[in-house]
Order: sequence, then structure tokens, then C-alpha cells
Amino acid sequence: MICIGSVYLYAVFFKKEWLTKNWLLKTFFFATPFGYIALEAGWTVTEVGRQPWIIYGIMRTVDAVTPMPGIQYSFYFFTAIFVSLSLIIIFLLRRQIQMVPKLYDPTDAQFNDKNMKS
Amino acid sequence: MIYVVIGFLWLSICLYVILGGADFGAGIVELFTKKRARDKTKEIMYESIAPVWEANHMWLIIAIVILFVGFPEIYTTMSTYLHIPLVLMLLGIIARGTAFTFRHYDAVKDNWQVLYTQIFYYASLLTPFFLGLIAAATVSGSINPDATTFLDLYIFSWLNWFGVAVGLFTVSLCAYLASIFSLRETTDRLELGLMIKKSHQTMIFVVITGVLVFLTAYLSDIPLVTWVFSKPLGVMATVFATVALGLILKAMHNRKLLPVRALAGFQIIMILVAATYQHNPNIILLGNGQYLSLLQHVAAPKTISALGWALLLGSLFILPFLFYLMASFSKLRK
Repeated sequence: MICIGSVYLYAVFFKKEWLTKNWLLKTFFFATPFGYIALEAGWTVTEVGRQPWIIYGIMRTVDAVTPMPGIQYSFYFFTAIFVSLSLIIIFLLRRQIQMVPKLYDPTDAQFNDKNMKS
Repeated sequence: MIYVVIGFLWLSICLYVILGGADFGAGIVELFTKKRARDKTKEIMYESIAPVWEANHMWLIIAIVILFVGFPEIYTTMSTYLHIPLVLMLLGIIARGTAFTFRHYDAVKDNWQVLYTQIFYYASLLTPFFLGLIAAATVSGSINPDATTFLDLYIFSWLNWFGVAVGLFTVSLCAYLASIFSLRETTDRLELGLMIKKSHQTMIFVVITGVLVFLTAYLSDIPLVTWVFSKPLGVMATVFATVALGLILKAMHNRKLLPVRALAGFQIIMILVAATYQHNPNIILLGNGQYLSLLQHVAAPKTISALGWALLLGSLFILPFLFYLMASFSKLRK
């Protein structure tokens, strides 16, 4: 992730022609999920790493949990919400991408460097 | 410092009810508009809530954080016994926000729009309903930590007729606020006439559901009348709210709309004062005769002083920008 960022910055300042090269764009494509993975992994490390404490050294997770029985249903509920939100975002992004040729004219100078008037 | 913290808690709840309420109300008013006038209403409503709709939930978050940090015992009680309505309200907020965004930004305008719109409507309706239900549960004494069965502890702590009535009252207040706030967004006489008609209708609903609240309170032995009318401040707040209602009616009649927003906001504050001041500083009245007080069930003094300073410094940053946001939006339209 950091590598691709550095390559990008180098390209911006010194090798402008790299920016339209296929290999760089493809690397960007494959690097897309890395940010999310890094975020989730960091979160998992902090949450799992501090068990059995919820506040390290002060309060244990067992003592912090709600006394209400049936809390697992809340868990299922929120899981369902997040799963459906992820499905929706995939669906919406697909629609957005499908509309790109219609919304943006590829010959428009704004969206294509090759057409830019010098 | 404790009073600074309580003041901020009160301010954020007021602002959430006024700004967030108008926001929810936009969906409710649209839902109860006939198909013919719907597009027009939608346009006007969108104009009127656009400046603040993203910022609204900040006030809810601030209120929750103040409760969480400053009054952990009160927070624990609420989140434990009112878990189910809180989760449902949260679901409403999420569903509403996402549906509203999709409705405006989805690249393709097709039948999915109908689904987004329906979700937006019903989430707008249910969220303030549960907000009212939760508010009612804190004062109706229905939360009883001494109960033994699951139903008594976690279901009937919020599900009762008084709660339903307050929920409906909150829903009509939101619709009322939204239609009053939208009055100044209208561009011609026809639109203005439409929105004034809506304001009258929602006003009637507020009065009907308000009566319902007192009726159910009476039937469930909640001394609401004594709370509101036993102390001079409560009576004064009620009188002020009624006078403001009269002034709004007069302003609408004369088509002089400059003060209506401020008056409606003032009215809501007065209703909140009348409803909460009487048992102040007790914020939650429990079913077993105990109560949770903002002055007694409070975090350590160090925490409160840190929280107070954080709120004061934070408001230095937030409030000017909020006003700037609103000002820049109202200039944009002219």
C-alpha cells in the first residue's frame, strides 16, 4: 500500500507519463482493498488483543456486558444490517460504474488527458 | 462545572429535537401528502432541510457522549432497559440516512427510487416515534429494575399507552416543525398556500396528540398535569408556547413569515421545559419509587470538569461554523 503510494507520488513529480500506463493503473486496482484490510486488521488487533479486559486493567469484558438476556439477537440483527448494507453498496457501485460511459463523455477534455488542449 | 455539562446536555437535546425533528418531519409530511402535490412538497422540503440534515445527528451524538461520560449510571439504565427501542431508533436513523442519500445520488433513476422513497418515509415516521417512546419511558416510571420477568424488565419498560401517545406526539411535532420551517422556502403564492395548509393540519395533529398524551397519562396514573402546572415556570412555559402558537397563526395569516421559524423553535423549547423542569434534576423516574438524578448519579468531579472544558472548547469551534453553514445556505438561494 505504502509502496504503491510512493510510486504514485514519484510519478506525479518526476514521471508524468507513468500515470496513464496500464501497469500502474492495474496495481491501483489490486491495491484498492488493502486500505480496508489494514483498517479492519488494526481494529481486530486492538479489540482481540486486550481481552479479557474491556478497559485494560480496570474492567473485565464479562463485567461490562449488559444484564439483558437474549443479547445474541441484537448481534444477529446488527450483523444482518451490515451484511445488507454491504450488499447494497456493491449493487450501487455496480450501477454507478455501468453509468460511467453515459454520464461522462470519454472525449470530454475534463476526463481524458489525451484530449487536453495544450 | 456540573451545570455547564447539564446545560450542554439540555442544549444538544433541544437542538436535536428542533433541527433533527424538522428533518424527520420532512419525510412524515411527504408521506402524508397526496400523490398530486408530492413532488412539489418534496422539492420545498428538500430545500428547507438541506443545510442541516447532515449536522443533525451530531447533537444526538453529543447528548449520548455526555450521558456516557458524565452520567454513566443513567446511561447504563437507559441502554439496558430501553435496549430494544434504542436499537429500533438507531435502525431508523441508519435506514433513513442511507435511503435519503440514495434517493438523491443514485446514478440511475428507475423503480429503485420507489423503494428508497418508501424506506425514507417509514424510517422518518418510526424514528421520532421511538424517540418519544424512549423519552416517555424515562418519566413514566415504567422502568422497574426490581421486576423479575423478561417481559416486565425489557418490554413493558417502554411499551405502554403513555409511551405510544408521547411517540405520536413527537411524530406530529416533527411534522409541524418541518412544515413551519419550509414556509420560507416557498417561491410563489401557490406553494405558500400549500405549505400553510399543511402547517394548519399538522398543528391540529399536535393538539390532538397532545390531548392524547394527557389522557393516557391520566389513565396510567402519571401525574403529568401536576408536573406541568404545579410550578410557576411550567405554567409560564405552557402560556408562552400557546402565545407563540397564536403568533405563528397570525404571521401565517398576514403572510409575514420572518419570525415563524424562531417562534416554532421557541415553542418546542417551552414544551421541553414544561415537560422536564418539574422533576429536575431527576432525569429518570424508576418504577420502584427510586429516581436517577443529574446531580447525584454523576461521574467523578475530575471527569465532569474535563468534560465541561472539552464541551466549552468544542462549542467554540462548532457553533460559529454551524451558524456559518446555515447563513451560507440561505445566501446561496437568494
